[in-house]
Amino acid sequence: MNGRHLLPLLLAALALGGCGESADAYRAAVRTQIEQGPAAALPALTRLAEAGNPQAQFRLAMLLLEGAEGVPRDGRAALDWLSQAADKGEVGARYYLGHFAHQGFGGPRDPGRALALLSSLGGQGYAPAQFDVAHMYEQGIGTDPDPATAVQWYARAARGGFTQAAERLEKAYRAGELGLTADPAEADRWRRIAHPGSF
Amino acid sequence: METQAVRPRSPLSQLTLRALLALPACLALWWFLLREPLLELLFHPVRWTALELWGTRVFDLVVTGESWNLQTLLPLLQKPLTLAEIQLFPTRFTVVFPLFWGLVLATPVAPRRWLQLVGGTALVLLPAVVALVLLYAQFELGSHINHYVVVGQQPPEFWLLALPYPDWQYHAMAVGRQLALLVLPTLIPVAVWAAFNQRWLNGAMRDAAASFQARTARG
Repeated sequence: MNGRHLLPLLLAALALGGCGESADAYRAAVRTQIEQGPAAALPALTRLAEAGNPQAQFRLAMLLLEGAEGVPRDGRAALDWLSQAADKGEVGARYYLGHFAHQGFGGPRDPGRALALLSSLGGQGYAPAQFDVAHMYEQGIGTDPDPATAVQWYARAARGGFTQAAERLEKAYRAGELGLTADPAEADRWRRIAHPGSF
Repeated sequence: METQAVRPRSPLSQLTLRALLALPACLALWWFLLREPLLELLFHPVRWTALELWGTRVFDLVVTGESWNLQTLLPLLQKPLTLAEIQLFPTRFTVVFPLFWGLVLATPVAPRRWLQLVGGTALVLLPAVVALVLLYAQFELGSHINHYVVVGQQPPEFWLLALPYPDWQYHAMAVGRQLALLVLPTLIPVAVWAAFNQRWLNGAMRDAAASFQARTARG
């Protein structure tokens, strides 16, 4: 193996080593939070968040939102950390930012942004976000009502194990809602998906 | 009075008769005395490997009575400051040890029997059982994240804030779980015993084949 091949390997090993250190440091911060309370963990979490650890950014945001024991509530800072974590792909941050945009938390309601955030998460297979997107298409939140697209998202969420999505499809097929023709057999199929152990 | 020469028992019959004594004895020893020490022996390698393998997902592994709790770093959807815990029941995997000990003790002519017992247990079975527990833990982790039913396993009520594994990966984990729970705990001790006692096993097989041929020739 020549030096040209060795260098990328060395860099990859260093990067992986760095990841391990960051994971250890995050674990230590969480341990401090569990054993000594949120206030004691705040400096370590802030350090990690500033260094770009998305898990720490999300946890810090949640602590600041909740105003946990000894941590002053700070919605603005929480949203900043959530945005940074979401940019790095942190699932919790993307999910909560989507909901906050829908509710208008920390700014005006922005259903379009909520739909975009949750659709992107749903597109990666996260079933709770898929259910929310389906609901938004059904109700016309952040978009025009689109029952056919809602059915597609409900079906994805149901196949991903989200019981309420399968139940919604069962109800829709039984009553002929969401632009579907009433079909008891299909309703029963979704009921079996919603409650696999009950048959 | 006519005396009949007593035909010596075949090696396989000897093995079977000895196994009828050795296996129950080893299983009893395991169940009543050695289950917990074996679990203690397994705990640290499993914990260390789990933290190395799933560093960003696992917080710790702790013993709580009969079970081990895999404390994850994955937040709950509804309570994002609370981390999910997964209960593991590793006792079932330790049955590998008494099965192996029973077979080694039952073998009529086992070279370096005590070395087989100690070396096989420490160097082969222990790492193998660690791997089995990890396969099982990996599926449990996957089931909590992917959240849909495979191999009849119901996911928990709560959801985690984590992206699901690709379907093929989750199904591979399910296959790993089935192997770890149903196939390998019996296959591993037999395979290790057979590897250690290959010469005796070959001789026993030849003897069985010769005796079968002789019986066939006699009609």
